[in-house]
Amino acid sequence: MESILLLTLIWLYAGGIAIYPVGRYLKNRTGYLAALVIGISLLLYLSILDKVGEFYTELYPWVDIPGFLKITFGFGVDGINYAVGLIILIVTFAAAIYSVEYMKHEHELDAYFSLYVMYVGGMLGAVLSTDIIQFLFFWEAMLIPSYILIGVWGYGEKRRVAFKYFLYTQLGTILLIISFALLGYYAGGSFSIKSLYMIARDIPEGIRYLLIIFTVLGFGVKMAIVPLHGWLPEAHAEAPTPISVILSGVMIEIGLYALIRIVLPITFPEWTTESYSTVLMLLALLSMFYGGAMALVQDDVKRLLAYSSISQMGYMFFGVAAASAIALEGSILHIVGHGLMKGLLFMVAGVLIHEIGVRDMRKLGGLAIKMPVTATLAVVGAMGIAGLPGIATFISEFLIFSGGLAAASHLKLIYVIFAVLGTALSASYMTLFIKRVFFGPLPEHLKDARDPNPVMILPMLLMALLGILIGVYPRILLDYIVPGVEYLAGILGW
Amino acid sequence: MLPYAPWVVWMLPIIMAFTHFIWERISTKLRDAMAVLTGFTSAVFAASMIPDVINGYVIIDGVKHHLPYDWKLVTWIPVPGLEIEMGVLIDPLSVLMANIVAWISSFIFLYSVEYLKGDRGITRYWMLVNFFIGAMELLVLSDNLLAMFFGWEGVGLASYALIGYWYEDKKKYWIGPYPPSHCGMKAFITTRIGDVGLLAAMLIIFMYSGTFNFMELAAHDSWIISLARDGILTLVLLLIFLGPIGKSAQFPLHVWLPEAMAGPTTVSALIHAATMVKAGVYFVARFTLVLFLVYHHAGEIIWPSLSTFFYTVAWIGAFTAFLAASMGLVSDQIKKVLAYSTVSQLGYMFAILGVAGLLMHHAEAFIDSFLSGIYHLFSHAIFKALLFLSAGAVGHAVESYMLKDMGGLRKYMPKTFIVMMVGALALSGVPPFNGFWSKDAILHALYAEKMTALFIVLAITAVMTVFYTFRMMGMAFYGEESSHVKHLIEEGHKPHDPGIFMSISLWVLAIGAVVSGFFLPGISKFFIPSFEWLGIEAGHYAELPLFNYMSFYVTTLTSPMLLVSIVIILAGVVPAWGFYMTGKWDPVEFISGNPLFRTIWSFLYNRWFINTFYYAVFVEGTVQLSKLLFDTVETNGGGNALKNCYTSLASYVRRLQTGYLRVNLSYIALGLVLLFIIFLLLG
Repeated sequence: MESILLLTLIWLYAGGIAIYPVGRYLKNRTGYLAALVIGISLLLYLSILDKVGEFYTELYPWVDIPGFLKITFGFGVDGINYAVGLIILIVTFAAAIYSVEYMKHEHELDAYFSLYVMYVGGMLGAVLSTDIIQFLFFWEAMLIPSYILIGVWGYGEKRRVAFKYFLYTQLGTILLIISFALLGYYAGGSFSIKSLYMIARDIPEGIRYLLIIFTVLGFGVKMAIVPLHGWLPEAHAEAPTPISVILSGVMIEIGLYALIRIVLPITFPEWTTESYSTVLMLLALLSMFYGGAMALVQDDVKRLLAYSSISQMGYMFFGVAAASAIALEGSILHIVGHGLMKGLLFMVAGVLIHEIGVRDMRKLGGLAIKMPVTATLAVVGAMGIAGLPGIATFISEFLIFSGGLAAASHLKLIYVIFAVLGTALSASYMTLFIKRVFFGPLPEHLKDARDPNPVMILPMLLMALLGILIGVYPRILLDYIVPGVEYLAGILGW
Repeated sequence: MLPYAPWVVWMLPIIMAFTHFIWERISTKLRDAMAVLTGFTSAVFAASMIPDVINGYVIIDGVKHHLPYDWKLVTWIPVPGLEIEMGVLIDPLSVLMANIVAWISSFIFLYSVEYLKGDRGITRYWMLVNFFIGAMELLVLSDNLLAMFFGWEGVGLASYALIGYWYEDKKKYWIGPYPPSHCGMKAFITTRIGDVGLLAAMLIIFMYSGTFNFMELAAHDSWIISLARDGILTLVLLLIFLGPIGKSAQFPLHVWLPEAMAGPTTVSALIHAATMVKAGVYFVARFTLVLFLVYHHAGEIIWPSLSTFFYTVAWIGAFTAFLAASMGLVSDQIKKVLAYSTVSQLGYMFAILGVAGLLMHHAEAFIDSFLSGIYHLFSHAIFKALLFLSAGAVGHAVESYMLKDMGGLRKYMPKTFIVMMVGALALSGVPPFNGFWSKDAILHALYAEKMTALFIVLAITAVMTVFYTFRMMGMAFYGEESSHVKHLIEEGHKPHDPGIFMSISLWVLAIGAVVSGFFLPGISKFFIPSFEWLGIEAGHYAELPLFNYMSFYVTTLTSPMLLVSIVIILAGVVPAWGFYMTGKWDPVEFISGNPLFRTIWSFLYNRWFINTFYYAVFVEGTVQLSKLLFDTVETNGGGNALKNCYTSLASYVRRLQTGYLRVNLSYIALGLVLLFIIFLLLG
């Protein structure tokens, strides 16, 4: 049996641990080692590309008490989580290189990069899990490093913010534990994700309602669905920028992924009904508009981007709530597209912090003339968030909206029109951001600003080019995502 | 046709757009040459498709295909239930548009070489304009709605970036109250609102038809019948029209175009006069053709919605034509006059296309009005590009676009005066310039079909058009030199005619504005493959004057409509002559002397207060509401909700933690009792 995925995970954790002692000698070059570790795991991960279609899985026995409890430890990929895992590794790889320059003057880089790599391991492990208890294990394993990363290397009131982030997420996790315990009870002690859908109809209807509410709330905290978003604006704004890239770009999306992977199969009889679906869509719409409206009035660059993430998360949730295969494909692709574009924009914000130390838009302006490359990349990112054709996010939003209409219900039609209208709001706050930061007259105190060195530019360029590549030729990803979603949709009877 | 012509036409400029930064490293001359060459190469490829359209068929890989031919190359989006193939449509409308875009842009590129000399952002300029051309060609050539939308948003992006080209917002680039970067943003967001409607409508149509392809939409009628049965056909058609309203700057989304003049004049000429703003007209024309065929399959069940749609198109067009022309009457900048004029002329095209749609059941009348609209699209592209480029030459010479900074320039720039006069005469509809024939064709069609109300509105608009055109010419070229011009002369910057590159483009367009008027019936013949595709028999149109060189010009010059045209011209020219060209009467005195005129003037000068209203309600409204939400819900409530929850919970729980041993012991006892009960209950 091949064990490439296990090897990838072990490699990441071993690397994470090894970086700590080795980093003492490498000093501020530690980041290259971290990037190397992630890069090799990316290569390992890519080596199973041709097996995605056949639902490649690795299973290892973990806990087995006959008749009572059976927890396996395994990793599997299909089109859905392969795409999510890929974007995790790409974004974290880019952010690691970016960190080298960005964190150069910070203290204890050995610990920073060690935690960074373990954080990546946690996220990848969660996404590849084949068992919900194992999933929960990695779910926590990604929370703890990120908590420390924010609390130690963050900005502003970092301790309080990190604590708030921890509390919110943990509260969500409690709800998840309750729901998972219920599930295990009805599944006769088995927690395998693969077999979840088989027991769906055995669970009493009332319990299924409860499960939907608990899990949507539980994962909703991570996804920062309004009104559970309280932690996000502060955490994403005050985290060190490479961590913001990961938080906004890939981590919150894991909540959505879990919703698709775990919650959909057990609650699809309800989920698919018009009333549930439309209530959830309404919740998603609220996120879109609320996040967008808040982003419109922010003065802090990173806070604007954080609110924008809430809004974009609304789009992805909308796709899942719409209960159609096409919309689901759109949501998955949006995880990728948004990960690239929002990551790119946070990196742009990081350039501002790193090069000129200003993140308040009231004190910024006219930087396009001093930072032409950064400005161009920022425009690409902004247009990505605004959903302009030619960038991956357009294809995904387009699929989400089409999927919303596939059910041919009038109520959904109205919701979709509103969701489309939401893109005008995204375009507004994004063009406003570009105008306030890069256009207009150059203030006196920014005379010496210039583009950062290539170590910071290259990761940004990588993200931008990937976003455009997928936007122009979406088949490179859709050819993998579609069979995965179609298989799931077949199970769900969509 | 040159090999793969329709693909090369749009792909080449897009690819080349991203190479200019390489050429720049070698030599700036090479970069400029490459950019211009890209334009002309694309134009040659576009022109190579003309013979095929005239023949009525294309030969691809040795196979003969009749037009319109849908040339599909690759599957683009593979999602089941949503497969989308990438293809180009070769038909008269797309080929005509492709040629207008490619040729006019090529000459504007040539002009830009001189016009922008010495500007620091030229590489960015070439990148954006070449990208723009590619996106625009994609828009007109694509065979399906989705790829068209790619082009649609692509040109929007280029327009946004080019309006804000001088993003440093230096005071000398301001036109009106807003800095250039604000203007770009305004254009982007306003058109985006229209695009939202278009995108939503596209999706709904897709949901009912399962296709985005124009040919497939035209070939089936079940989708439109289901839409009509579900009672949302009217909604969908109106949503679709929102896209063109935004892109072509029609009321109520017309507010962005005057501000779009903040970009370089070449951009105004290229994007905001000759090509991009025509995208809306193109799309309505394209969709009218589709609806024509669908209507003849589906029959009367869809007519109520169709007629609502076409009435809306016609009246939005006519009203916008009037509205914008009235604003042009009092505008104080040469480029803004032309911008209002563009909005107004686009209104003409929408009005006549709407009428064409209303006359669908009557093939002859349909063709008559449809072609009039296309004529005007064609001639407007030429003369408006000419006018903008001439205005650019003037602005270049006097370093200002304010009309009050000009005056008496005829002496200093005689050649520019002549070419601009050609443009002005064409815009005013004076024979024999191209604008006359096309505008007359529109009025003629309206008159023949007894669309009296539309006819009157558009005729009055024509009077205003003549007036503002000659007002502009008078203020710029006639009368005394303004103090600004005198100042320039004293400083040794005497205004002068432009150099060779700018002149070539100006003269080519000027000759075009004269000559092209005599080729309009050729366009009718060009469109025969389309009419054959629509299933209209040749007998219905072959006899129309529009299809016959002799009779078109003879009929136009002998019909009573000529009299109307002469009246229109005189009614416009005489006051302009008196006020601005000879200076016999004083316009300031005339207006300020009369309270009623003063009120009207202020109403028009403030653009009917529509812009002010939008800013107050939509912009400020959204921002203030968001601020309010942020200050109340987000900062005080939402952000701290969890913390407050924990704190208040803790304040209750802490009362239980008394610290006394006896209390704690009683808790233990209570717990044991509870456990005991639970075990009993579980048995």
